Amino acid sequence: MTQSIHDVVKSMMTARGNTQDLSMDEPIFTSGLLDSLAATELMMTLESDFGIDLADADFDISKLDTLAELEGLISQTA
Amino acid sequence: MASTETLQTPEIEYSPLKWRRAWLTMDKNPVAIEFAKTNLGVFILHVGFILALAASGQLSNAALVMVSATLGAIALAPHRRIELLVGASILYVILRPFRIDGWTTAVNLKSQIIEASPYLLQIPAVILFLLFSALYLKAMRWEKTKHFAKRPVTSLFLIWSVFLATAVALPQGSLVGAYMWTFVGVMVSAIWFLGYAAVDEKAKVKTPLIAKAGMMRPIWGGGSTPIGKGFGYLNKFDAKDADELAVTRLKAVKLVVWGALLAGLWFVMEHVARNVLEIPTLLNSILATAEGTTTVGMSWISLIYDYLLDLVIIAVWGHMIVAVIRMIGYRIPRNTRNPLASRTLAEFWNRYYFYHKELLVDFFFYPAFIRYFKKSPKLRIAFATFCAAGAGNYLFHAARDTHIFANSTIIEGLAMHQSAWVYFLALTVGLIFSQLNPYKIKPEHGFFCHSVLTRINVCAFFCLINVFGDFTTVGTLAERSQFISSLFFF
Repeated sequence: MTQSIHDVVKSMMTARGNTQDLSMDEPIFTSGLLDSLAATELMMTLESDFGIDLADADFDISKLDTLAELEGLISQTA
Repeated sequence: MASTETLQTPEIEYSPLKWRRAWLTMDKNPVAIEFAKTNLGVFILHVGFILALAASGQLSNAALVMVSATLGAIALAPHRRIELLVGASILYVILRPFRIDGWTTAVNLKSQIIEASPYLLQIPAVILFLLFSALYLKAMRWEKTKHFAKRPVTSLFLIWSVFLATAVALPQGSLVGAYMWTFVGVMVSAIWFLGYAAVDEKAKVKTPLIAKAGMMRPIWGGGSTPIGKGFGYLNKFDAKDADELAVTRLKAVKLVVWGALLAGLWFVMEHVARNVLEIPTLLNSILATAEGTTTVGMSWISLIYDYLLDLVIIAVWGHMIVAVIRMIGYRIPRNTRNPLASRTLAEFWNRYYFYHKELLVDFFFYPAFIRYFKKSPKLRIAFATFCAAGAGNYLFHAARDTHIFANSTIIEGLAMHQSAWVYFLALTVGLIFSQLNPYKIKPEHGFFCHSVLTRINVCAFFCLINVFGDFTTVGTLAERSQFISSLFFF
């Protein structure tokens, strides 16, 4: 599962011509590495492939900005 | 006597390209990084930085002194960085609470009517607003207000609307009315800063409430858009050790020098256009078209030239602010990053004014996207884009410019927005189309299509909608529409 979300982000970056390595704590969206359109793609993937309800009252959108946060969110739901 | 050999100094090779490369890669050069960590290095970097900042001509003398003093104090006492930053920012907001001249003029007019100094209106209004900010942030932590804490824009604009309605309802020549209008202006100038401070309540690294409430106009200046957002965002980019701080400061110096060079370019472009080539400003060109005193060729030149000038000045302005933030130790991304390289409208928005796009995405796009039309991906993206680029963008500008209601009726004020409505509508439709367009141009379509045509399309779109991007009363919607028609010989 962890590998999967990493792969999803990595493939999005590659599709946008960015092949740099990404550390676990590096901001992905707030640093501009990926744009808001990529964020929407990622959010839809989280909903469809990982069963995460983004409209949950306690969900915090800012918790999607690093690989570590994404993994944490997925492991909470699993 | 020393030998000839020992007296020789190493020759510096004349190679501008190598110097340029060395300059651009200095933040990766171990020798430069080590030097930047020494006391002498810190001193030289700061002196160079301030000289470049001054050379850009973007700051008033008073602002330059304040920024220099703050940077110097932070370099001398890095363990007191937050206190120094917040202290300087509080002083700054007291002295310059408004982000646009319209509010300064409106408050000056009010002060003339009641025959008092504008400072007598401003200072109490700022102090009250800072107290309000602290109380608001405190309230965000209470369980009963959790619903509002999750919707900072809604709650803040509801509160602000009550103050605005009160200001409109009060007798316009009265002292209370003047104070209320000043408070409304101070609040709306800082409303997005307070919004980010409220969002930061959820951040991992907690910043003291008083510090957050004091950052309603950070010392690095700027408009109503919070460049660098709030402490929650800044902390993500904070230099963790001496090496990172040295690299961040080297990046700051590189950026401020680049900004100063662009400022020089802008100055030359502006001077050549207006004084040598006699190219009118876009607004003058619109008015000249209405009067029938210009040519189609000159209208096109004026349109494109203004667009290029706008790109350069927004880059200069953003680079200066980001450079100051980096000098303080936060390695945040640039505000403008090669916008002419954009192949899509959405990409342009990301590259042209990153922090304004972030504001609209953070406060409008994501909240709409996660809540509405989840069953229909296309409608979901379209609606969220409308909320951000259309409704949110309009709210941002309309609220910022509410000073026009201080001296005119609501109908008159709304009439001034008609051109802007066309701008936001066109921007929204363009961005929705850009995101949902199934036909994406790829490298296999050829260099011209992929690298040239796409970029021309993006430039043409933003060039043309710029004609309507105005909240002033000069140049009506009809005159601006006539200008667009005339470009295509209609």
